[in-house]
Amino acid sequence: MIEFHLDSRSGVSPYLQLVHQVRHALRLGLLREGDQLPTVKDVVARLAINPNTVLKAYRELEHAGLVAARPGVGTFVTGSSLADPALAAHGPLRRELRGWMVKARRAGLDEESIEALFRDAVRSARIEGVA
Amino acid sequence: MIWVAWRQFRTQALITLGLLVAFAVLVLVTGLHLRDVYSSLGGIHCSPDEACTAPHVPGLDKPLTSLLGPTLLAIPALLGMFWGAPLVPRELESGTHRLAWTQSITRRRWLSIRVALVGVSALVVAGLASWLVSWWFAPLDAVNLNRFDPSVFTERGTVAIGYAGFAFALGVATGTLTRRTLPAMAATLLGFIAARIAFTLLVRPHLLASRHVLYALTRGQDVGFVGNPTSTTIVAGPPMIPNAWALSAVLVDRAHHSLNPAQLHDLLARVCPAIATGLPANPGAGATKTQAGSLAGGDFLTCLHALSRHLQLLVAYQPSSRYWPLQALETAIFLAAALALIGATVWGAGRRIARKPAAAPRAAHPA
Amino acid sequence: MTVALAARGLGKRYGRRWALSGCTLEVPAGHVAGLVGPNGAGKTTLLQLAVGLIEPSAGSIAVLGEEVAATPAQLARVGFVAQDTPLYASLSVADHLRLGAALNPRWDAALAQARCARIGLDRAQRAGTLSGGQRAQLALTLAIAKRPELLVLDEPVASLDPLARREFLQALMEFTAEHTVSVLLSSHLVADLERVCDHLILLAEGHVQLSGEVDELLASHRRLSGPRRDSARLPSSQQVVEETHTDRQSTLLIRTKEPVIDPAWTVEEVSLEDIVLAYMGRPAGDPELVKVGQ
Repeated sequence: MIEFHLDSRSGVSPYLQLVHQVRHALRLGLLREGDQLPTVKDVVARLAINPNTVLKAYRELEHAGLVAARPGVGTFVTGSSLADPALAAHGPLRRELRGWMVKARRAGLDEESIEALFRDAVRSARIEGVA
Repeated sequence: MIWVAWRQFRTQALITLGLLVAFAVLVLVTGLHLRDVYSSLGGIHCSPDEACTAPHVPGLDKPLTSLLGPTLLAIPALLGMFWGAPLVPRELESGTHRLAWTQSITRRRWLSIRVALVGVSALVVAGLASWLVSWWFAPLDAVNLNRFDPSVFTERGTVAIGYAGFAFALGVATGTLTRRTLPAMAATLLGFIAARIAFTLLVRPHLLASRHVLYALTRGQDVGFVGNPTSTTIVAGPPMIPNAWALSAVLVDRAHHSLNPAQLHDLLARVCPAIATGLPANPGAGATKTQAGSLAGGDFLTCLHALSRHLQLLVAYQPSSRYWPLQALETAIFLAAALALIGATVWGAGRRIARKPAAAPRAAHPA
Repeated sequence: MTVALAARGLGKRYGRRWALSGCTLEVPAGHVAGLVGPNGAGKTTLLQLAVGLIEPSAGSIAVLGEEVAATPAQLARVGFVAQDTPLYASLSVADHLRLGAALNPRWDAALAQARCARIGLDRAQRAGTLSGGQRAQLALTLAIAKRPELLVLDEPVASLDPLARREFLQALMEFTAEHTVSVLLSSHLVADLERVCDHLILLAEGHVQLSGEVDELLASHRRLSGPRRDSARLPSSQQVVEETHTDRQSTLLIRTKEPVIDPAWTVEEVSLEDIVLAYMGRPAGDPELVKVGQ
C-alpha cells in the first residue's frame, strides 16, 4: 500500500500530485497488478484534503486505464499498467534528450540553468492550454 | 432538556440546600428552646385592652427576633437576583448560547424548561423558609396579636412564596432584556422593592372590602385635640383590635353621620368650653391619655367622657378571619404577575435574543 | 437538494453600521465551501444568520430549502461549531455528550464515542481544563454526532497550533468522506482553505466579492506580465481583475475563459491566495465579476 504526501508549494495541483505519485510508484514497481490503492477515507484522513480531490485523481487514473474501481471494495491496480504505450517511447526520447543536453553544455549552461530551462518549458506548455 | 437544565442548576441547588439545612437547624433548635421557656412561664395572658409585648426570653439573643423575620424579605430578593437574573445573561456572556441554541431544540423550549425547573425550586425554598419562620414566631405572635402589621404580615404565611416567584420572574425578564448579569441583578432588586412597597401601600388595603364597626370614643388610640390660634378640633386614631387590621377611624355622631372639623369645633365648644378656648400653650396634636392627664388634669378625661355621649368612632377594619384570605390573595397576585412576566419573556425568546454576533469572550480559556 | 444555503439581498445592521449588506449567494450542497475574508468582513455575521442565532435586517436566507431555525426538525439538520468553540467549562466531556444526546433526536452515540476514543479524550475531564485542540475536537464531535446535513464552522482552527489544526482538518475531512454532508467553513487564512475546500466565497466589507469552484478559479485566472500596455486593449474575453504598471512593464491579473495566445505576454498561473487578494482590493461587488463558473 503506498502512502501519499502533498507538497503545497510545488505549484502542482493536489490531484495531479496524487496521479503522479501513483504513476511513479508503478514505474518503480512499488505498485503491482492487483494492489489496492488507499481508500478515499484513509487518504483524506491523513492529508486533510477534500475527498473530491482524491476522487478526481482516481478517476483520471481509471481513465488512463491504470486502475479500476470495484464498487464497495476499493480501487485496484490493473494489469494494463505494464502495457503503458508511453513506456515504449522512453528509449528514443531519452537518447534525444541526451543529445540536447550535450548541445546545452556546449552553449555554456550549467546544470542549474539546464534544469530551470527544462522546468519552465514544461510549465508553459501546460498552462498555455488554459481553462 | 430537563437533565441539561438540572445539570446547569446543580451547583446552585446544592449550595442553597446546604444553606437551607443550616437555616432549618438554627430555627428548629432556637424555636424549641423558645417554646420550652414560654411553657415554663405558664403562658402569657394580656387583657384585650392593653398592648402586650412578649417578654424577653433569657438566653434567646435579641438579634434573632429582629433578623429572622426580615430573612423572608431577603430570600425572595436573593432568589431573584442570583437565580433569575443570571439565567440568560450567563449564557450570553460566556458565549455558550452559541452551543445551546444550535442544538435541535427551540429557544422557547430551552428557556421554558430552565425557568420551570429553577422557578419551582425557588418557590419551594421560599415555602420552606416561610414555614420555618412562621413556626418559630408562633408563640410570640400569640402574645403580640399583631399579625396584620405591615412588617409582620409579610414575614409570615404564604406571601413569601408569591414574592419569590415574582422576584425570580423579574430576574429572568430583566436578564433577557439587558443581556448582562449585573444590570439585571440591580434592576431585579429595585423592581422587587418598588413592587412590594407599591403593593403594600396601594393594593393590600383595598383587596377585600373592609367591614365597619362602631367603637366608643374612649377606645380609640391617640385621641386628642388639635388647635391653631383660630379654632380647635378633635382627632382620634383607630383602636387596637387584636389580630385584626384597623384601617381607619372616622368620628361620627349618634346618627352615624361623619362630622367635619367645623362641626367638631362647635361640638367641642358646646361640651367642653374650657378646652375649646383655653388650651395649654403647646397643645400638641393627639396628646395621649397619660400626657393629657398631666397637662390638663382631670379636665381632659371629663371632657372625653362628655364627648363620648355625642361621638363614636366608625372604624373600617379587616377582621381576624380575613387573615388567610388576604395572604392567599396577595400570594396569588404576585404569582400571577410572575407567570405573566415569564410568559412574555418566553414568547419574546422566539425572536433572536443575541444581538451582536458574540465576539470571543474575554475570559481566556486555559490552554 | 442541490443548494445548501441560498441568500438573497441578505443584510444585517447593528445601529447604523451594516455588517452585511446585499449578500446574494448560493452554496452548493455536497461540497466543502470556504468563506474567506478579512476580519470584520461579516463572515461571523453570515454564519450566525445561517444557523439562526441572529435575525436578518434585510433580505432573506434559506438553508437546505427551509427557513432558518424555523422548527426543531430544521435545527437538527444543521450543525454549528462557533468561533473559539464555546463549551460549558464546568461540565465534563461525558456531560457534553449527554447534553448532545438529550437535545438532538438524531444523535449518533456510537459515532460520538468512537471519535472521543480516537482523540483520546478523558470522559471525566472538565471541558474548562482541555487544551485548545481538544476543545475544538470536542466541539466538532458534538456537531458531527447530531448527523447534520449541513455543517457550519466559524474559524474553527484560527487559534490552534499547527498540529491541532492539522488534526482538526483531518477529522473534518474524514467525516465528509464517509457521510454525505455539506460543509461551510470560514477562515481569514486562504492557506487553510485551499486544501480542504472545493468551493470558495470571498466576503469583504459586508459584500460578496467572489464566489465559485476552486478548480474553476484556478483554471480561469492568469497573471500576465510584459511590456507596458494599456489594459483596455485586451480582448473582451479577458477581464482585468487587478493591474499594476511601471514605466516599462505591466502586470495584469485577468480572468479569462480562453487560452492566452498573445506572445508578448508571459503567462503564469496564480495561487488561490493571490486571486483572493486581488478581489479583496476591489470596490463592492461588480456583479459581472462576482460569480465564477456559470
